[in-house]
Amino acid sequence: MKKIPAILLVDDDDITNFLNKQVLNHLGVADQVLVATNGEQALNILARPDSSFSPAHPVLVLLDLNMPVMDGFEFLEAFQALPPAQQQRAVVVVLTTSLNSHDLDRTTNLPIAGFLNKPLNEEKVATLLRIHFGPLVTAE
Amino acid sequence: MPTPPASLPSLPAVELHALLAVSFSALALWRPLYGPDGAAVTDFACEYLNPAGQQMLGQPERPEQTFLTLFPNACENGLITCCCRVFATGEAGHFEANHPADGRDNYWHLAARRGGELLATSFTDPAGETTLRANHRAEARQAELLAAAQRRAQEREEFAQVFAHTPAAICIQCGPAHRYAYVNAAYQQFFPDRQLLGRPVAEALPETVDAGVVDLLDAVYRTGETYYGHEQPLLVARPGGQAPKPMYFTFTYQAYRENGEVVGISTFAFDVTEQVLARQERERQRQQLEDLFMQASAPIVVLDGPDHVFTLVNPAYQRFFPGRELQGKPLRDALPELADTPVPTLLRQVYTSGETCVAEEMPLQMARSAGGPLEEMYWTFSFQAHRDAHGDIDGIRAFAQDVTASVRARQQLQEANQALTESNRQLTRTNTDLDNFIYTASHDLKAPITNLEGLLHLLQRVLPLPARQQEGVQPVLDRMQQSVDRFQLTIAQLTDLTKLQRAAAEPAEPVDLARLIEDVCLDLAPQFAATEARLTVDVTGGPRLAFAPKNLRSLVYNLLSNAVKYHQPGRPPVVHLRSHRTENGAAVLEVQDNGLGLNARQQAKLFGLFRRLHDHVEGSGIGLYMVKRIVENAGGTIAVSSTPGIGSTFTITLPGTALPETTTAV
Repeated sequence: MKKIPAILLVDDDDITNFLNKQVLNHLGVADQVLVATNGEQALNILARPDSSFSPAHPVLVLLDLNMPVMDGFEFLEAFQALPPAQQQRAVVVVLTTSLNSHDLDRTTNLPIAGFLNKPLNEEKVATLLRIHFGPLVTAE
Repeated sequence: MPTPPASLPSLPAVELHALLAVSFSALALWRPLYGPDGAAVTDFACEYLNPAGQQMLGQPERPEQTFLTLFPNACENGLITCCCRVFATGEAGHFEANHPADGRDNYWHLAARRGGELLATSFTDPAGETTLRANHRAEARQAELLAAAQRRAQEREEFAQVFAHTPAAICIQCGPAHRYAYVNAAYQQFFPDRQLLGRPVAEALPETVDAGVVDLLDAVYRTGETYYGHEQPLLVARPGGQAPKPMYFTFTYQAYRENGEVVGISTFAFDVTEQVLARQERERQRQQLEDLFMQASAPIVVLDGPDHVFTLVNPAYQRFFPGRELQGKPLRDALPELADTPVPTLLRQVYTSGETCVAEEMPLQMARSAGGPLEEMYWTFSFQAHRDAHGDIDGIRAFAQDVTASVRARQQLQEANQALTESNRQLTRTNTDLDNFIYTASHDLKAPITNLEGLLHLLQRVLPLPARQQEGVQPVLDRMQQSVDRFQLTIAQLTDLTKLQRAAAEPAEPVDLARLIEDVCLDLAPQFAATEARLTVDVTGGPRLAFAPKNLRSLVYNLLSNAVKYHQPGRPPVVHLRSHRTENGAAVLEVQDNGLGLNARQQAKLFGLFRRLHDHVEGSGIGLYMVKRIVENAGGTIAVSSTPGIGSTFTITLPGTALPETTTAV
């Protein structure tokens, strides 16, 4: 079974990150699970020159919207401003507790591949991977 | 004294008579009449007069009248003296006279001689020629008189013609009873149905007695002084029970005289009834206008001339300035505080241009009493130019209205509105804040509870089997899960509430009720199947509704899902959905079930927020609260009738205004 190279969890809530990491590790769908507690850290990780991400093997970013320092929207705007080649190294899925209509409006025209409601569970991860990464990976 | 002839042949009576009868001369025998002393002859009685004498004097053969009566001028001209002397002396006498004054306008002479105790006279014209000449003169005189009479008649006729056609009414009344001797057509026209000529005024026009007319006539008749009457009223009686006609006359009563004596009254009269009535009418109208002006509740003033002198101030105007003298004063003296306001400029403009000017709600600082404190008043003015007979502006009419109260009221209203707008804005802000709060709260609460649930799941997985099987561990884990569920439910309710706030703003549109119900039934199909529910829908009597579709869907969904959810265990739910229209045009939506039913206490709480009456089934406790809110926001009502163990019927009534058309749903 193939794994995707990396999954980047972007959330300011440590417990959420801990739980999501447990779910992902339990499923064993990624070579590494990275954690960023705000948008800025996430951008830095994505921009690392030695990163193993590539358009052929993009990183899955699970992005929360409400965060300090740089929230999800700001991250998406900054991400959108990156060169296309860099953008293609990541697939961004919004993972949040709830979306009000105002927030939903703000996401229009932002490079978002999909939405997921918390909590993350094995079923949701499997569906997500099937949609965005095809037969490359399968859940255990 | 001459001696009589010695003898005369005695003549028989027949011959003597013939002789006397044939004489041209008038022959008479007179017997002397003595005065009171019995000595002197003063007159003669006629014993005999021959036919020529009879003809000449117009007397019988033996006239009863004496000499002096038959010749009234005999004393004056000496004839009687001549005769007395002849009788006394016995000498023959002769007398010549021309006596037009005797009425016998001829020259004549008389011869006298005493015969015994009698006096004989012969008198005649001296010659036939004289008589003839006299006759000619008499004829000429006669013709002259006739011509004069005809002339007078002609004049009278002309006068009569003039009088008859003159518009003035003329009458002549004769004698102390003022008997009508003449009335012209105009006069007769005043009293068309009366016989006037020949009758005394009191009899012909009895109404004149009480009116004092007869008294006036009497006075004129008595004093001879002319009376001038000016527009004197007279109620003229009319026949056939008609009300008397009031008439007014201007007239003169003028006495006319004969031989210096007042013998009658001539009247010239004009019927001035129309003029008097017209003037009375004008006066009445003028009075009416004045009354209107004086009694008008609206303040009115008339300002005269370029200085705007108060010439008329009606009481309504004066009431505003009880202590101030306005009448007769120019505006700048009467109300000096207006000097620096736009009023003088406006008045000058109206006075110059003649164009009416209306000033609305002009704020003015004015004193109600002279020297009193200035008060803020609001006036609405209408200034109209007033023009004289030549069309030149000579003043201004000002209609004023004190609008202070209404302006104040409006200002207060505006202030109240502003306050209302402000509080509305605050409320809106508060609502938005609340909305945001609920959202944030639900979000911020949701995250940790989601984590808690995740941790619980993780714990279940990582807990070694022996530990999990240890007594008391699993029930604790279960209760933790229940608490998490309950927490999540509360958060879901909060989220639903925020949705409800937004739903209120949804616009109404025509909705096909039958199709909407079909859609809802599709959504509820799993629940229907699980409970083996049976639903009958009868909305053929119901109309197309004008309603926000989402809200209507929410109503139907909640009612139908409740009907299934709260079914009596062991009894498949049977639900009837009906819709019809009431007589007054309201739309009724009715959902009847055979479920658990509700007792009175439960019914009272039914529509409250977070009221869950049954614990054994899922529910947010917000459904019926939302239903009620939606119905009431649309001006409708919701009611429930229920019997525990039998079932419930929910009835929603929506007002007719929500139903623009009556097409029966397919």
